[in-house]
Parts: sequence; structure tokens; C-alpha cells
Amino acid sequence: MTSSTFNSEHKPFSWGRLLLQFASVLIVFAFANVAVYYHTEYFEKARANHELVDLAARKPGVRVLFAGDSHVAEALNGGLNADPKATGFSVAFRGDSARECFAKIRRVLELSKGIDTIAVSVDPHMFGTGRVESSNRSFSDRYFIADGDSSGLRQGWLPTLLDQVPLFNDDFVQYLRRVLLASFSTHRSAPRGAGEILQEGVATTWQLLSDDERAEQARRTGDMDHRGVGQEQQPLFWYGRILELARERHLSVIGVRFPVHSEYSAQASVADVANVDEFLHSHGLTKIVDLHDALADPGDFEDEDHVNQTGAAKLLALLAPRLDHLFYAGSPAEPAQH
Amino acid sequence: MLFNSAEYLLFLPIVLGVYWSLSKQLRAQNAWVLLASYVFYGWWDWRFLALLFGTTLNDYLCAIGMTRFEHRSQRRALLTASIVVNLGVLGFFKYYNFFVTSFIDAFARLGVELHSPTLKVILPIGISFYTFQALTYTISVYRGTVKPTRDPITFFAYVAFFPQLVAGPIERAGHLLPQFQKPRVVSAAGFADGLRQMTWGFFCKLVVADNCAVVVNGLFDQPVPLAGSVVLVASLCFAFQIYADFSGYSHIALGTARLLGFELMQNFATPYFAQSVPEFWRRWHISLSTWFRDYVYIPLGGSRVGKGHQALNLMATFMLSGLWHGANWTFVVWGFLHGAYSVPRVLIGEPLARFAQSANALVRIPTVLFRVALTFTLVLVAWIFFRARDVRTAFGMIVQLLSPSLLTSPVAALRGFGVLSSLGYAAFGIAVLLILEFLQRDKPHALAFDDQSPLLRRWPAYTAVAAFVLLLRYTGGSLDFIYFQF
Repeated sequence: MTSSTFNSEHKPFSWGRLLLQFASVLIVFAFANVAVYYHTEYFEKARANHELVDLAARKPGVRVLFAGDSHVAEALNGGLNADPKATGFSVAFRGDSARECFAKIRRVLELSKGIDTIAVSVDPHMFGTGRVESSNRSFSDRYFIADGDSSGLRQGWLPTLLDQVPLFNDDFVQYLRRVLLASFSTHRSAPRGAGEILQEGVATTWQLLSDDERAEQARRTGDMDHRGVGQEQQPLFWYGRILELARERHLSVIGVRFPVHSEYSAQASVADVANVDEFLHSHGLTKIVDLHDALADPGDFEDEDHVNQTGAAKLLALLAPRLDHLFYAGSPAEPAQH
Repeated sequence: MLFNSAEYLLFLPIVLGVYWSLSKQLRAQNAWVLLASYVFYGWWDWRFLALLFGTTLNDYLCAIGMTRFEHRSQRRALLTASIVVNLGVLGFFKYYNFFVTSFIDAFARLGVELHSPTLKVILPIGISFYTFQALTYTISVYRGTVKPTRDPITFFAYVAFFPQLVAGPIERAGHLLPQFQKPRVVSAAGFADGLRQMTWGFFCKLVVADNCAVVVNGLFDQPVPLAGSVVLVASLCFAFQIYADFSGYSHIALGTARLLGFELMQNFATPYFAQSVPEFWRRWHISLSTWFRDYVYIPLGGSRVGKGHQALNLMATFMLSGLWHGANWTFVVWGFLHGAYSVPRVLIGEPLARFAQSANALVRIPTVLFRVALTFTLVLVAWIFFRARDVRTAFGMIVQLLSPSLLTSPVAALRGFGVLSSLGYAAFGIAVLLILEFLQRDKPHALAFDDQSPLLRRWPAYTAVAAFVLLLRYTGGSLDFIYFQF
């Protein structure tokens, strides 16, 4: 095709017109990015994630920093983070893997000097195949970029920087497609985990089930979540880095196992968990506070592996005295039971 | 460097910015293109730059030498040196292990066991393309159709021109080299169309090819036999994967070249709308098929010989073309099949062609549809050999295609292999591709609307394609272009 095809005799295509079109496309693209950043649940989650890290760094008197996934977030973020007197703070977020935990811990330690203990989730599923890649990956990329560390970037600097543009972010595009598909679909699958409460403080789907149904659901989820525990190198690598980071800064690291349904935890092989524990201890973990069977009342759970508000209050009371120092004295509404 | 990488998004504006700033200095512009091309190639593995440099230098010197010698035998010796070096390098890197293991296998069947001296040879990307492009230069200089250039920068930039260095189009010296020898003019219209062609290329690659790739890789790599209906899905996906992948690359290459003021040859022209296999080859990978026509088929005698001889030449050319794609018997069988599909035309012509040109639509349309469907089916069968692990697996898949399992529903199996959602995106992308390419079948690419087209036709098409690239693209990272391996 020759350029004469385009050079109309009536309306020559000029560089000015091309620039105008190019600028228009750029402006539309920029607006679209701003719109999705401020009006989608995905980036709302990203902002909430960053806000947690900022709060942890800014809050005075924080000595114990918690990290992990929804098991930690559901249990601690509500009561602990809201208590101004607490010396513990949780940056845990639903879906975080060990890599995200590392990135956030390091970021907070860069900004806050008072922390002397890191309490990180060592629930067995954190070492499984399902936690090799996190959907929160691009949220934490920001911290790797800020710290000038390319070791955690899957595809190098430039793709990661590009990923920070919302419409170029692969995870966001996947999320958006799911939302669009769901909006076309007549039936929507029920979300699992946080947000499953039918009516706050009254009854949850979980509590309406029979014991057998609960056991069956816990077995199914436990089986899925514990695949590859101890076999995957990625989680071990990042736990190793968390422990190395703590060693460099002379901090103690305490591993915590959070309450789950007995059938859920039974799906993790004892030998695999022992291997994980051996790895953690050999890399300098101070101790493991194992509370996986500390709560058994279905009324304390939102589902097979997440505590509800009642369970969270009980858990805080159990956990606080087991760490090296008291990080939470209990809010006036929820007195801690020592 | 991949076109579909973040690096390229940074690389291209830098190259363009400096290139335009040198617009009054042709030699400096060429030097800049050369430097950019070496950076582009070296991004993959800088060690292979020496190979690119060495073969280019050999061709440059051979061509210069041809001007110094009057005697035909001396000129022929220099041409031979160029051919031997180019094909020798290609043969070593691409075929050494293939021929050694085939030789050993053949002796093993006779009961003689030989030790394998195979080497771990890395195939330099683009080697099949740039050696063939360099060869067009020395052959043309020998034939006297192209004047040798004394400017090494011009020639080195011609061989290494980054938009088409690693996967073509394989340019002829007579077409591309003169463009390096005179100032290029970049018009606003040409630039805009270059951007549109690149956008279309990205759609083909990221939406169609990469989503198809998930399905294809998930199904073709299964160790268990697949039902006929699943094989059909896998084959259809591969047919569109390879088309969208390669044509997408070519569109990005042509579009990029246009931003720099170069015009490269069109490499694809809606091949799946072809009504015969010979027509398919006039529309598919045009730069390679015409290369084989000009430098293999015609020198062998072309159509100037008897029909039997012509058929043999055709078979030899297609099998060589198959081998060019890779060192594997699957490619040889693929080439053989295309040769076999093409031979009947030599022997009996095209009996249905006159019905396809009938003035009566009731005769013409069904004939055209039948011919397109038949051609596509034949091509599809050949693609199974092209993609399968080995010839035995390909035969097994074809047997499944002919079995009653072809009539079973593939949905459960596709869900089980975890490829259903990718198939959905791929199918949508294929539909958009076919519709736009059909509507724009006389244009060099699907977004090639001229300035006279109504705004309400052009902009919805641009917007939709750009939106599809953003939303339906494969999100698992950058996948290599298939033709990089050739």
C-alpha cells in the first residue's frame, strides 16, 4: 500500500492531525486507568493493602509485626489493628504468599525502627502449591521496586513497571474478565472466605451446616489447600529470606499456626509439616506457636479455615501471652482473658 | 527482544526518536538502525552477534569480490563460498544433531550400533531468515540484478534490520537494499497506518495466538490419546495459533518498518480463504514461498519441464521447505503432504475453478465454499504433523479424527485439561479475526482503512481491537513467537 492511498486530495492527513489523535488516545487511556484504579474492587484491595503497610509503619509503639494471608487477616486485622494501645500490628492480607509477606515486612522495617518481633503465619498451606503464586503479586511489586530489589520480580524491571499501569496489569485483567463474565452469567458462584457472613453477628453459612457437612467441606478444602506442602521451593525461599532479614536486624521471628477445622488440618501430611518445621528452625525461627486446634466451636468460625469475630477475640486472648511480650491487652469492648 | 515485551515498548520510541533526529543524515541513520538491530538481537544472546556479523561480512566480501573478477568461474567460486558459508552455518546449528541421530537410527535398524556424537547446539534465533535474506543478495549480485554495495553499514543494516531480522519477511536484496541507499520519507499517513498495522499484529498475537497456545499446548502435549473431537479442537486451535502468531509478527514487523519509512513485502494475504493449496501458498508466508520458487523450484526447471518432472520438482521444493522449518521428520512429512496436495493441479489442472468463477451465484458460492473448506481441511491435516511431537503421534491423532469419538462432546475433556476459558477467548478472537479479515480481504491488513472511510466504520474497529488487546490478551506473560524456533 502506498502513502498516496491515504493522502486524500480533499483532506490530507497531516502530522498535526496524527498528533491530535495520538494525544486523544493517550488521554482516554489515562482516564480509563484512573477510572479503574478508583472504581474497581481489585484496586480497592490494592489500596487497602498499601494502607495497611503505611499504617504499620506510622503507628507509634508497634513492636510485633504480623504477616500472613486471610487466616491471619481475618483473625487479627479487625481487633488488633483498631486498638490504639496494642503494640502489635498485622499487615496480613487475603491471598498473600510468603513473597508478599517478605516484601511487606521489609518495607515496614525500612520505615519503622521500633519492631523487635515478627510473627508470621506458618500454616502448612502457606508452603503448598497454591501459595507459589499470589494474586496479590503486583501489589507487592511496588515494595520490591521501592527497595530497588529485582529478586522478587517475576519478569524483570520493565514488565513490572508496566504492570503498575492498571490496564496493563495481568492480574487486574483476569479479575476484570471474571467480573464481566459473572455479570453475563445467570448464576454466580458463592465467594469463599471473608465476606461469606449472611448477617453480621448472627449466623453464617458455616454455622448452618451439620457437623458431617462441615467435616466434608473441611476435608475437601484442606485436601486442595495442602497440595505440594514442603515440595515447593518458592515458599521455602521466601521464608528463608524473612528469617535472614530478621537475623540481619537482630529480630526474633515467631511462627504462628492459626485455628482451623480439625479435618482441614488433617489433610496436611505430618511428615511434610515436620519437614517444613525443620527447615524453619534450621534457618533461625525462634519458635512456633501452634494454635491450629485451639478452637473447636463452630460458632468461632466463618468457614473451615477462617475464624469469625468471636473466634478472633478468643484467639487474641490465647495468642498474646504466648509471644515474647504482650502485644495486645484487649480493647474495652473485648476484654482479653489471660 | 520480543515485540510483545515491555522492553520493546521502551526500545522502539528511543530508536524512533534518534532516527528522526538524524533525518538529514542517511549514513548516520543507517548506522543507528544497525546499532539498534544488534542491540535488538543481542538482547536474546549477545554471543550470537558474532555469528550474525561473521556471515554478513562473508557475504559482503563475496559480493565485493564478484565485482573485481571478470571471469565467470571466479565469480561462481565466490557465490559458492557465500552459499557454503550460509548454508553451512545453518546446517550446523539447525541440522547437525538431526542428521547424526537419523543416521544412527538408520544403522540401528540394520543391527549396527553406532555411538552418538551429538552436541548441545543452541539454535540461534532468526538464523533461517537472515541467512536466506543474505543469500538473495549474493545470488542477485552474481546474476547481475543487484549492484553490490561498497558501504558496509548499508549492507550490515540490510541483513540485520531489526523489524524483520528474527522471523522475516525474508526480503529480497533488490527490494530492501535500495531503501537503505536513499533517504526515506515518513508520511503522517504511512506512520499512522504503521501504528494500525502494529495494533492488528498485537491483536493477532496476544489475543488469538497466545490464547490458542494455551489450548494447543494443553492438548498436544497430553501423553494419553485424545478423543477425535478434542483432536479437532486442538488442530483448529493450532491452525489459528500458527497463523495469528506468524502473521501477527509480520504485521508488527511491517508496521515498525513503516514507522522508519521502510516498506517490507506483505507476508500473508488471508490464506485460510484460499480455494486451493497452490493458492494457499500464494497467500501464506509469501516471502518464503516465493524464495523457494525463485531460488529452488525455477532453477530446478520450474514449469518449463514435463509434467512428471514438474511434479517431482514440486515435491522436492515442498520437502525442502518442510526441512527449512525444523530438523524433524514431522516437518518433512508436512512438506511432503503440501507437495502431494499441489501435484494434482500440475497433472489435471483445477476442474472446479471455472465453477468458482461462474456468473451464477447459485453455482459460484457453493463451489467457492466447498473449495475453501476442502483446502482448509487439507491444510489442517498437515498442521497436525507440523505440531505433533513425532510422526507416530500425528498418525494416532488422525486415526482419532476418523473414529466415532469425533462425534462426542469435547467439553468435559477440555474442562478437565483446564483450557476451556482460554478456548473461549481464543474462539472469540478467531471470530473477530475472520470477520475483519474477510471484510478487509483486499487490504494489506484488517485495520487498513483509508482516510475516506466513514469515521463510524474506522474508529469503532480501532477501539474494539484495542480494547480486545487490553482485555482478552493472554495474561500469563510474554510467549515466544512460534517462528523464532525456525
